[in-house]
Amino acid sequence: MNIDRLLARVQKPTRYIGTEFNSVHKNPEEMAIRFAFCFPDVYEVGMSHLGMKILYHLLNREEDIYCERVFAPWVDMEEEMRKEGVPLFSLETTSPVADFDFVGFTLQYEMSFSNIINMLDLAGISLYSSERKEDEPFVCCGGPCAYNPEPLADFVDFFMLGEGEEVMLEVMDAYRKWKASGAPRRAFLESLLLVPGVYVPCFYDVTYNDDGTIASFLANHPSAPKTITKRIIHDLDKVIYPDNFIVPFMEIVHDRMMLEVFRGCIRGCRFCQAGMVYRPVREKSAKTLLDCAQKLIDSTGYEELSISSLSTSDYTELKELTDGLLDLTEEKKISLSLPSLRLDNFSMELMQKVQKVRKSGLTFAPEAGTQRLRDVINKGVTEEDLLRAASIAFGGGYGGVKLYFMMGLPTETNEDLAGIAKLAEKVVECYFAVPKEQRNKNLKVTVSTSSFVPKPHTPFQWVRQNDVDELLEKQNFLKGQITSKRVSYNWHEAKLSVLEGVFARGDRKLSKVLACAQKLGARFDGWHEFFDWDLWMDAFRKAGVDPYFYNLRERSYDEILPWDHINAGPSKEFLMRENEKAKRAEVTPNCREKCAGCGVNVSLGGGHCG
Amino acid sequence: MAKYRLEFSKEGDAKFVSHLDLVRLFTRVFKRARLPLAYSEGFNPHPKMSIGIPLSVGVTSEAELLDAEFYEEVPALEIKERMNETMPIGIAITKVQMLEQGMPKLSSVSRASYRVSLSGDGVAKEALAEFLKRETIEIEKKTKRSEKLVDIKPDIFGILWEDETTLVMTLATGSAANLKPEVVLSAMKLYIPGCSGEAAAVHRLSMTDDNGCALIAG
Repeated sequence: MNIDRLLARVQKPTRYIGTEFNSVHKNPEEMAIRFAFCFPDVYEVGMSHLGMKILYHLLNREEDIYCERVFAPWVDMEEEMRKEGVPLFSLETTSPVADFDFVGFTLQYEMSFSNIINMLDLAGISLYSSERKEDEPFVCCGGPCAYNPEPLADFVDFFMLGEGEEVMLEVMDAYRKWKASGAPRRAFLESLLLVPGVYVPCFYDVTYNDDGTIASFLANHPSAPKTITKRIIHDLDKVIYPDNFIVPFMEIVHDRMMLEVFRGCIRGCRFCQAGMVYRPVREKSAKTLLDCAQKLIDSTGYEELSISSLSTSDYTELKELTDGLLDLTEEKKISLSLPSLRLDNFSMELMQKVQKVRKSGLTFAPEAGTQRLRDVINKGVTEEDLLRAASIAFGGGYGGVKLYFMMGLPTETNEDLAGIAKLAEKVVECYFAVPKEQRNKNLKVTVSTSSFVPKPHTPFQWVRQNDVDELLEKQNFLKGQITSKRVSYNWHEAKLSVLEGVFARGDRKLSKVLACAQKLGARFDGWHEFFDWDLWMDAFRKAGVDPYFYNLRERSYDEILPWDHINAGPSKEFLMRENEKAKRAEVTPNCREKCAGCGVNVSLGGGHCG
Repeated sequence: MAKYRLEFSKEGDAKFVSHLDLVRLFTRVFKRARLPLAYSEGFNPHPKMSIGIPLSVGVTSEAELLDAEFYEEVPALEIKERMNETMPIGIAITKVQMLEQGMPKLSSVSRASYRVSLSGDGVAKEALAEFLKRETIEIEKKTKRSEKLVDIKPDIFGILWEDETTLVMTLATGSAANLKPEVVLSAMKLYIPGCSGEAAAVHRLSMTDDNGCALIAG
């Protein structure tokens, strides 16, 4: 297809051309398998995603596979496409997505679900898996939201759970065999039942109780496993990692090289889905990472290198790594960023490394305003940790400090909210304790709150979420508590968090809502300018589904949860235990101090954690 | 320190890359090619490089100019080869010349030639001649506050008719006066009956100074 005439009319046309440096170009006609890797958001967001870079690289290394990228067209482009009858297309060859063998979506956040439906619609692919014809592509998904696949189960042919580097190639193998056999579409899905980590929803039936909860969730195929266990890579030093990131023409959200230093997290914060589902901790060696950094620097020309992990300062070889990276970057005017630094092991030395090339603001995440509530969520950091870190930062010349908190956490009271304001005030005091000539001239303390969303596979998967009014009230209360002019406050939209909560813990009944919302025009829900709460409420009414069933009730431990058939690693018993400890504000030590018995080393067969 | 002038082409999908994005792109190309691009001193160092006369998004070119300063000398041919090895599809270095004292600056560019392919029936040779014989060619120019009539005739140095749908326009370009081919087309639509004023493609052929001299040798 030639889309030049469309590109001449839209903003940022480089979102839609696939000729960036390091993009892969093959002849589609010579390929046995064409895979459309779809990111259900706009280019600059999708291209910032590390998982996509890894899997693009992985698939394109196979001689007979061509993986191309697809993003959600921005609204101006969508309008032009619909007007001219241009279907959703891939970047590299501008081919219609419906012509591919696989259409794979990565599920990074629930608020991108409407974009998936919209993209299938734009592609002209049958929306429901059950309606897909023999010659249509297989629609598959992976990524963190696949740990509760049920809201999308009716649309998706199969899900891949956990880390994709091995399972994807196994699926490709199954496809080559199936294709050679000439068997019907269903036979391929059946063959996937034998691939560990693959969930094929059509082989499971759900029945419901009168109150809407699940009565049974049963396989309807003899080969379908009762539970599907996520896949992990055991040795990260041996796994493939792209050494030639695509370098976009336009500026993307994370426009830099990324080095993934480890997967998993030792911390066990009870609200954090990533900290639970990415277990166990597995590190790459500093040597592997430095080799990789050198290759990335040579192959991209990027001016910034960032470390990627859930908690950078927990990396055991951090000193070797950061020293080695500075040797590679400093002279070449490449700046180094170390995100996700924890308060309790933040040091002067670490801070100086980050600011050698450029000094940006620092963000700390105490998450809650009082020690009691921080213990409830098992955050583990103290007020002293924060004030010490703030003093180091101000002493080192930083003027901007951002403090990140969550609102609506279980057991939260006004005292906890007031504690947020008090903490911010104390951080301001830390600034004034630094001698005038030493500190930055401009002080800016920003308090930022997001609303807590209970997520599947976490100890809080059973708890009630706050409703919109409660969250707004809390935001107003905190606004009133922050009196210092030195502290500014911003907050996340409550309605968005509530809707996110519905889909996070949703079941198959939500598919109707999604289909309905797309018809009403829902898309880019994660973008404030497009999120339309009334539209969604209308979609729930039309689909006859009560959104509050999903987030405004406390679930009992014996309720069948929609994601119970997915094994993300930690056992349900562990999650229950942690939830009970939360109620008593009891802290669980991190994995390196003492094993909490989450069960991941048993269920994933690794036997060893971080 | 050594200064170089580079000429590059921008073809195919690369025509959608904006001027600002191009600056970032070249900074990275220099890094990948391991060329010693110089940076300014100070807290926030920036590369010593400038791209002359922005090209409109959607226009291809075979005559873009870029000046860059290196910490040390590198043979011109080597610069060209190393850069072209690491260039995204559609952009290529065509010439490299070391800049010496007294050579014209990029800012002395004052005219550019474009090949314009018209969509639709195009324009007859006679009609174009009539158009160019006009004493004034006035079009409405929108500014933030108002709309005013401007005469673009003085900024048109010539329009060659190759066939009904192919014209070569030489127009004022640069900081003193800048006339884009799209504007000429909208004037043609206004004054030439039946002319669609729409281009299927616009391609920059060259950039010169007041005397019609190229700013790069070779």
